[in-house]
Amino acid sequence: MRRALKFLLLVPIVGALLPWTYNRTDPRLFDIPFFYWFQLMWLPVGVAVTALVVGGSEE
Amino acid sequence: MTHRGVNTVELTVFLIIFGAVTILGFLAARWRRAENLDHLDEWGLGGRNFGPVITWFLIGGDLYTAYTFVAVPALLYGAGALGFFAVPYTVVVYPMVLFVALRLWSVARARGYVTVADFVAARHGSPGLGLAIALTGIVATMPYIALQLIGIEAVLKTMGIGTQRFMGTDDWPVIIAFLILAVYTYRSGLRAPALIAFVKDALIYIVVITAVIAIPIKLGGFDHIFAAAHDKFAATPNPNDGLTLPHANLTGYSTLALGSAMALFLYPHSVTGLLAARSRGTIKRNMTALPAYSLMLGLLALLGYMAIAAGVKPIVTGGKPDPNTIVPQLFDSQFPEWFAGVAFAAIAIGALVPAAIMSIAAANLFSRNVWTAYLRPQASHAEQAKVARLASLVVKAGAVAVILVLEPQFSIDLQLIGGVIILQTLPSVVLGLWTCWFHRWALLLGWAAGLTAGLAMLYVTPNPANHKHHFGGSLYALSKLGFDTKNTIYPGLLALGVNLLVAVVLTPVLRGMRVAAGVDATLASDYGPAPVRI
Repeated sequence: MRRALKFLLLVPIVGALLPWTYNRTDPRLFDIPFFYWFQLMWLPVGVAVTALVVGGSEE
Repeated sequence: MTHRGVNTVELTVFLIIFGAVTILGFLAARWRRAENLDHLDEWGLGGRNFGPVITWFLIGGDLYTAYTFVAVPALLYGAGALGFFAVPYTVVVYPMVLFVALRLWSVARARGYVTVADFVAARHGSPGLGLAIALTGIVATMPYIALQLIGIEAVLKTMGIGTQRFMGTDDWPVIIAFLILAVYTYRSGLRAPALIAFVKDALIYIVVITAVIAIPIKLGGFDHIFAAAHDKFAATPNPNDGLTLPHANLTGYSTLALGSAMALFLYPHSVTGLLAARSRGTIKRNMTALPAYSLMLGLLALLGYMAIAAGVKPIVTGGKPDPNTIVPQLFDSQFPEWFAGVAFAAIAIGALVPAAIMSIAAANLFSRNVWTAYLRPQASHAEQAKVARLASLVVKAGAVAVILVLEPQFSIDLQLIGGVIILQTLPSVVLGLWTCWFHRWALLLGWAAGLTAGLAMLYVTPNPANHKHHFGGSLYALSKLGFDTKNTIYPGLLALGVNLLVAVVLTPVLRGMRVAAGVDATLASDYGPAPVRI
């Protein structure tokens, strides 16, 4: 279970590296085009996943 | 605009902050009681005792450099969406390097390694491979230091300094700044940038938060800012700019972000920041806390579009517009003078912190893996520290010489090359942390093949925007390899593929030929948490 948690790290890595999924301007958020806010959104995802993996390791 | 007046308010605020930081740099030698700086662990790694908070400031100040702060927005200003690759790059880097960093820190602590080349030499039983890794690190770091000077110069130009000649050069303010930096780094070692990083980051955060709130309000909101950027890109004939990526650059964008992320923690200055940490827990906490800087970088990148909306133009020197002056020019036009002075000081100090760490890291490599490994095997700890201190001066003098003698564009080209070549150390370093299956000669030949392939690809990449024929950018056209496609790719990754292929194929061949393999000097238990001693 703990070991499997590590693979969650792949989620933000793969998500942020697929410009095919976010190369457009709509929908906008606070007037900011999709391309920009969607990529910034991966930051908190990365932090959450890293925290989960680090918190779940034994030492 | 060849003769701008000097802005006295900006300059006064700038000099006060810069002076305070200089004093801090000298006081740092006494900070956290270094009993004896005559040991490389003390001078070169700050005593290996930095906790989570100091490490956060140190690595943050180390990775997010002044050049980043001026160059990323400048890239968005000029090319649009492509410049935003800095965001996915810094999103993926921490999840990617988490376990690499933990294993590297652990083995370095267990065995007393100061540099990544120490580890490579011991792991693969090959000082020669260690030397190759060390030289790659030094070569990749030098232009990076030179770029920090370009960051300082962009600020000075905006304040109206650096257009007056003095002692036969107009680069004298940067020379003075670097002289000061060189002296206190020599004295205080890694403690100096660690202490200054607190001030630098506090200032940077204040400036960036103010900028991303106040400037959009002043300019009529993000809607207007993005519309202005869209109009600018629509009016240019360049098919590669725009608010989103042209289809042909999607692969390039993705591989550039990935390759840059893989390269980041192979740079000597990143490793130095990591190895100075006190514990594995410190590194774990930082891998979750460092992305705060990435958020700041993402917001900062948008300053490039704000500059477009504000009608900011780069300063022209010697007939050429300098795009790196975009951010300073934006601050100059949008902030009150005193606050612009604070912002400029933040950028300039933001250049000194990484420049200090980079020169220390390069100096550690020279002292350990060139001097002690090859010239003076009997060198004592005191001698190693002394050699590193002197080497740090030479490295900085070299960076200044590069700026004085060569075009700034040359440093930018070299830094582009630096990212590609540092990536070629990945098999020996990162794969080496998990396996010593590879034959030492296969790793060395793979490294050489990767370097050659990477340099060849960069050499044939033109830049139509500024009529350069070679080293024109970090996106390589796959059509040059005979593929029928318009797609581009980051050449560093392709070169790494060549490197790995050579290493994988040659390892069984060399074994078959019974070429002596290296002996691993580490134990499996060195890579994990230290056993509890009772």
